[in-house]
Amino acid sequence: MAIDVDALYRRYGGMVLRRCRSILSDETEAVDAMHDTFVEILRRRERLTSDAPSSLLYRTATWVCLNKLRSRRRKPEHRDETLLARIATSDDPEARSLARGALRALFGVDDGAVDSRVIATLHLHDGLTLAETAEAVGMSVSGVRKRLRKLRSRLGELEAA
Amino acid sequence: MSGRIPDFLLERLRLGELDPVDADRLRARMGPADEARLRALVDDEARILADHPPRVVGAAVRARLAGERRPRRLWVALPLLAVAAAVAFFALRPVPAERVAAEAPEITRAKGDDRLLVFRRTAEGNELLGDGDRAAAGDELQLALSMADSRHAAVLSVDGRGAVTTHYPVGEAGAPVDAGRHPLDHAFALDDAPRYERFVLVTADAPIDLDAVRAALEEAGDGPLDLPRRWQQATVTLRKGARGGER
Repeated sequence: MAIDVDALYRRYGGMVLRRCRSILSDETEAVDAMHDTFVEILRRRERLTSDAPSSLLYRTATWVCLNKLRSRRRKPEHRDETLLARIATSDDPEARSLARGALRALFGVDDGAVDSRVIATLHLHDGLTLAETAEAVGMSVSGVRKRLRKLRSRLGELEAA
Repeated sequence: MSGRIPDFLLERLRLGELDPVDADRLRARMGPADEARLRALVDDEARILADHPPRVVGAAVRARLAGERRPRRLWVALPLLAVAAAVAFFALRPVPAERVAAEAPEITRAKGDDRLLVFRRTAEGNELLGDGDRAAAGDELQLALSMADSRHAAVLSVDGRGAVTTHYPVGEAGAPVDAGRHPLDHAFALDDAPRYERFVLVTADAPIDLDAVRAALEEAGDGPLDLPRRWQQATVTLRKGARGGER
């Protein structure tokens, strides 16, 4: 579908920038991530449906920010950052294979095509329930639970964080 | 997991994108603190749109998307591409401070009186150019920043073909520029782009989003440059064509 990026930003830009700020805690990086988010949306415009695109934008922003966190060299400064950094850098085989397919992870339509790190961030960091997380990423609750179980087993004490 | 309502749900409530039943359920959960968070989102929205105008962000996004396909600027290369050469440019033909002050172009002044100086090499030395001065293809130019305070700075230009060049910083935005005069580390010759060559200095207290400036400048050409209000800007536009003593 054709996208009026100015209009899309006018409606969702605030949400996207706040999301980026909350993960990156750095204004310059957050603005950069916000731009990247809209770029990714434009690149995958065929996935954008006319009804309630906030979920897609939110998880795209999350994915973009996790990738930025992964490439950061500085150490996390507080507990929230530590959790996010660990999620971002988690060695998720699904994320790795998905990375090869770039945004298949984000825009795919089946359970195997959503980055587990995004799911973990929404549930473990943001506090969305399993059902809310499932709705946000377009998966079933059981699918989300399964992904989290796999990720937790790799991250060990992540659940307790 | 705490009982705090997640930001995402408040965002979707504000956007009216929650299912009506979920929206009612969420409202029933909300306490005064959550109501305050919801109001804060609305206030924050206005600030964000003022600081990052849709037209600027939209242009930056489109530019970033098209970035790899955009033709690169064809500056005529000069043997003055090193820092040492730029220093020599000034060291060998110093421009007296009083002359700079007297001839400084009447440009929009940035905060703290930061200024963008555009010099043209002449047979006699260096000539300080002002906004609206004439210039021609082949003119050798050197840019300099005159910073009143230590601030972040960016210098870009756009020509009559709409090609945007970033002169400073090279790469990503870096550390603030110290107070004082700083010749940029390369001189260059104007190419044959028609009509104008516009140079812009942007200064700010925080790192500057170069993509946003590039996009805004590409859109603006030699017209009004729409940048976030927290950034200050100064422009020197040179009109292209035969000089013929016109100033």
